[in-house]
Amino acid sequence: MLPLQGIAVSKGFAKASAFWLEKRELKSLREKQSLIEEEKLFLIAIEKAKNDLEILQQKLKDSKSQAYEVLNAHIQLLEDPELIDKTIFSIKENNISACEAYNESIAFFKNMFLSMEDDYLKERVNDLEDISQRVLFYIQSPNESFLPKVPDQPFILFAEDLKPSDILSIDRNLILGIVCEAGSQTSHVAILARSMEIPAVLGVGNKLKGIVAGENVFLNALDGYLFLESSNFEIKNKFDEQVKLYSSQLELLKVFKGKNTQTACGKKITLSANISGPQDMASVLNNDAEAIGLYRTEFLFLDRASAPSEEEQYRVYKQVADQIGNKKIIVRTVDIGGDKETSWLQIQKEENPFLGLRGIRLCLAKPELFKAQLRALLRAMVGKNWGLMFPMVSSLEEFLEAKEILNQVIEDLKGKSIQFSNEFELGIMVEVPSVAWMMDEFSEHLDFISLGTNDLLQYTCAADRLNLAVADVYNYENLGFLRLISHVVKEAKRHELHVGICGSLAHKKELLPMFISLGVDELSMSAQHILPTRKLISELVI
Amino acid sequence: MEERKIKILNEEGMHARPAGVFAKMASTYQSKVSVLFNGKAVNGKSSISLMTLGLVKDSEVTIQVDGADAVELADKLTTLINNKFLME
Repeated sequence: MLPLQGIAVSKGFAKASAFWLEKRELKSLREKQSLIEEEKLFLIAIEKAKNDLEILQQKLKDSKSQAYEVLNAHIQLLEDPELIDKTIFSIKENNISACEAYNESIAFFKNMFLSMEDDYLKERVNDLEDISQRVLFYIQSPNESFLPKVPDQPFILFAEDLKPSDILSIDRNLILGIVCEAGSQTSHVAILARSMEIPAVLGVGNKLKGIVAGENVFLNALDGYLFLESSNFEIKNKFDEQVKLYSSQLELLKVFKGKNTQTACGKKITLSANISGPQDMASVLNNDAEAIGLYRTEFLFLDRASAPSEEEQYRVYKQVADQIGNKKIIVRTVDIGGDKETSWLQIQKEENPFLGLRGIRLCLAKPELFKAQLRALLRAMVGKNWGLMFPMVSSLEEFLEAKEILNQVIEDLKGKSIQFSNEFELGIMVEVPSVAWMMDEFSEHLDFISLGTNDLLQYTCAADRLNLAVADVYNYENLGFLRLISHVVKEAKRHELHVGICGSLAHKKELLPMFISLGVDELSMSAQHILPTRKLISELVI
Repeated sequence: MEERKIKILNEEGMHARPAGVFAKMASTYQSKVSVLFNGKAVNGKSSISLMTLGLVKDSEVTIQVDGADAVELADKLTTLINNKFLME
């Protein structure tokens, strides 16, 4: 078998047996027992399902995942007295099996929700389906486990697609690598794999099915391919050499730890890390990031049943603030919408979510959500060297409206004599082309800008960055795109703004000379790219 | 039996979190709880049933609590609704 090619989204190598994480399927209906027996089976199934969710929750507790809240809601649904009473009533009155009765009860509430006008409540149907699958499984197979039976020995995790909570629900030490049929550089799993430093190759396609659980797999997540141990002896020898070379390179990079980032001619630039929450802080410190150039706060808002409260947000932001010491941190207000869907937000289905209600647009449409986040941030960042920026700004009016809300929040906090930070830098993400041409107008209101190259490129070239069919149009070497970047940086520097780049182009080897020549002040990237980039920059004669 | 008429104050109405918090509190007491709205009465200890009432901001509901600890629970549930379901 030839090596299977995918996208390397998190660097590294792994050699281990494949483990497929699969959805469980229901067995065919078993024969109906006595009424008492059916009722007993049902109640045991509820207990087993609840036990499963509690075990998952226990594991998630340590990784501080947002999925924890979703599980809480699901446990409550499982134990709901109406759902349980209705099922038991049906078993007795209609003389039917526990499976049929539970299905009926679930269908009853599903129809109820579907007939409601509220889109948010319509989506509760998904929660009902989720819990009912597990309960029905246990009614059918009380002695089997619905939880994935994970091997005791470390493995490479295989799946069609993964949710961040899937990864978080497995012991980190057991996952040596991740391989998925779906996914891309910017999917959530990619971001999570990088921050947890798990080698990962995504977007392999359905040929991946050819690899069976238990087979020994060699994963090269530097070049993005994998193959079977049994497939070709020659590649196997090469693999060991590659791993050796890679680890010696890693050693070499340690030389760059604790050093300034500068070119061979002594020109300095700041290398910062992108983070999504407290769980990334260890990797930030390990990889010697000089600052945090982008704190993506949206991960706190995803994969959950309802919006995080101000207090919950405050606690999480405070954890980050406590760990960062005196390094500078730039926080981006929540950028949800687009590819990052959340059911509790009740966003209408959009034809073009990337061009829809996301980033600052969504915050302006839901000012209470926005204000709660601003309050939590201002309170958590007391005494910190920090910056605040808004995502997806496309006009000056939009920015001024957001700033007005920020001012209201500050006045409100002053009035309540709550301790908060009033000293911070204010900036915007430059990721919508219209803003790139308005540095003159924006500069008097700003301290800094940060170029989000992923979105800026997709909007400039009109190419969906998640659509593999237009992957070659989504090309950072597009001359128009490079000119746009050059224009923005020059204009911003003319107005003496601090300029950062925080998209995945920030560590592109080919673009580093251009960024440094233009006078970019800060490059922000996944922590694992920092030391390699510092090395590359040290070799530049600029 | 304790009966209270209360207006829902929070923006989202009876969504999953508020319904969950309400049902959880009701479940820790002995008394029976019914929530009445629009000619329909549901079990106040069932978050799923509470959601099906379709309560939005400004909906006026009636809460009926019946049992030994009815007064205390009725008070607690009233406070909860007036605090927009916030519990820290």
